[in-house]
Amino acid sequence: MGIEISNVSKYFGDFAALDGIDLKIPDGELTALLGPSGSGKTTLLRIIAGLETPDQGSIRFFGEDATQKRTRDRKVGFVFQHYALFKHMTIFENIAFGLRIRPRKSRPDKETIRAKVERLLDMVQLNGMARRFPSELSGGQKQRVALARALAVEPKVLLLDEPFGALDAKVRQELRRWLRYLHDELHITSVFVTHDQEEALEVSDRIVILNKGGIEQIGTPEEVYDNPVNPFVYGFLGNVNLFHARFEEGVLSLRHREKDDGDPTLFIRPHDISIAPDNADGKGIAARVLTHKVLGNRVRVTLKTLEGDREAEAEIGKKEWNALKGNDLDAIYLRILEAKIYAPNETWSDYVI
Amino acid sequence: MNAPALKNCLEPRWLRPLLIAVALLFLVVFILLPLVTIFSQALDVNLQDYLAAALGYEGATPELPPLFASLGDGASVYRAALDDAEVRAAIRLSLFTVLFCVPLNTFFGVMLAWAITKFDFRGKNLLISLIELPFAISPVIAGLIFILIFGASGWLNMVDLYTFADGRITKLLDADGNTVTLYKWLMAHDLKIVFAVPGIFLATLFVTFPFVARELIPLMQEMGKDDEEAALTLGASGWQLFFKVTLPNIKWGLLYGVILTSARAIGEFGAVAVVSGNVRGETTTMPLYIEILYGEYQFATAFAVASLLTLIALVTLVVKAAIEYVLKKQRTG
Repeated sequence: MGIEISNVSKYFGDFAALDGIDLKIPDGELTALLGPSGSGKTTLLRIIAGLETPDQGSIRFFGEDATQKRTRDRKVGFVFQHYALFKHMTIFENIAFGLRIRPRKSRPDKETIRAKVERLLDMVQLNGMARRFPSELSGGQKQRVALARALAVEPKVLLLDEPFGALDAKVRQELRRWLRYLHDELHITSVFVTHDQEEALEVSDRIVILNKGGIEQIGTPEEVYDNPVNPFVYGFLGNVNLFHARFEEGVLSLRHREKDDGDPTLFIRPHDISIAPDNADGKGIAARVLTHKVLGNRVRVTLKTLEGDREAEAEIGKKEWNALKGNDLDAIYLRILEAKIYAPNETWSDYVI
Repeated sequence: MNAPALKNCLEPRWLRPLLIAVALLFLVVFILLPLVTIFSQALDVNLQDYLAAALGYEGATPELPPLFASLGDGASVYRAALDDAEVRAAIRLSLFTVLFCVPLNTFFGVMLAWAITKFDFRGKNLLISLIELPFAISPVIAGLIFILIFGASGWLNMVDLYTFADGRITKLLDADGNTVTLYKWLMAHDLKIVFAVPGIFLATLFVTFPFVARELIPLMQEMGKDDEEAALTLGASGWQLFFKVTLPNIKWGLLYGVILTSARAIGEFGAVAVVSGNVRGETTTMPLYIEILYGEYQFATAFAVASLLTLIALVTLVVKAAIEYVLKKQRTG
């Protein structure tokens, strides 16, 4: 096991930033700590790095207790959201910093350092930038330098705090893929913090979803996306439509307008709603189109059911939309392709209108 | 560029030249003219003729105050003044005061700024307010504080000394059988604090304390903790952190604080006047000596020393402006 976190709590005054966290981070994997702001994800990362001290609990690195170890003895690489490059040093000096400050007996000689920095610059695709200063680099380049600097000291663990948070969308995309590629090459145990579910789903091997200082769910991106364990995780991983329903003889009924206590709520992703001009199989819910927005090759359609005045958002393909838009948009039918219920007796297979 | 100049829509057309003119006039009358006077008097440039020429008078020159007319051959007086043993002693004492106070206040200022910006602790806001205290109170009072502590009627004269003899602790007595206070003991050992050089050092230390810390605190707050945390994760020790990461970032601000501290240390009058005792050639700094000379109607010498002090101030100003320029460039770059 790479990193073992047991029963870690951290309080800021009365506020519990982390409340009894137990987490195992496997060796060689890229793990995402995902959660909204204030969920404690950054605090947890900083505790792993030793930049914060937990009020309770312990941290083990590869079986060895590291709770009392100082940051500089933990052998972690840390990448900050705002790069934290040393402004007064060149790119070369930044990357060499961790090696040059070593005590003389463990410090590599000049030539070794130079060769290593060159290799790292090559790896982060910044050859020829060695003599530049951080202020002469773009955000994406700065973050790659920060990564090279962290890797120069050959850390056992790589920690990244919202590493792409300060970059614009296109660079963020590129850097994400590049990080994934780099991790596949190096296989260094890595943890990165993000509030962007798409980023977590795309980059990581495993996702840990945090909320209010606790862990909600741990799993592979596919597991957590397909089987969110609770409404919070469901809502956090993507857009959601809420419909309330009632069980009637094992069948879910959507025809009730008022919600009773104990009525289950249906969680439906926008892409799990389809729209048709007719009600061929009798499963359609009559609705009308309020607005639509074309997002590249997807179209986000806002609908309102004719009965019950419930608003729903559907996301359909451009082609389907083009086929649909010639029809009377005030009388169409929406169908629920897939939904999730968080209720005690949540087995259901069908619904009626 | 062929684009027409943008019309100024924010203020009436006449306001800007008027404001600039008023400010310039004020600057010339109250700052530039006195400054020129000091140097011209010290070097005995004939201000009367100069003014007459500048203002276009011919023949009859305007009457100037007798002060300006009563000067002799300035240049030689100037040289004589700087040869004077007491003048030299005053210059020396002022320089020693700077050499004593600036390193100490730099050291403690950096420590304080570090503590305030890097750590969270109770009473931090109180501490920040306390830093400003020497600026808030009159320098005369700053001087009096030291008289109250170290003077003959001060706290030190209320502290009795004890001695350990025959297995018992007894009060220390002098030859006449009187109790010996800490003050008396210090005097007996020729360790005068007030009305002596140590008092001047202490008073100057007090009034110049805020400059470095005040300059560094906003700078270090702006810098944040990221750089230092990055250095920590890369294995840096506390010293490496300070000298390789923090100091390069704050060095211009630090230098700026040091310059201000030096300027104030060399120019301080009020606090030093209270604790000095004005022993000529021993406890007179440059500003104090100028005042003594002036009081004795030795205008030529007074102006000579004053011009030297002013020159130091002007050099400081130029250095300060240069540092400000660098700091500004650093912030925007």
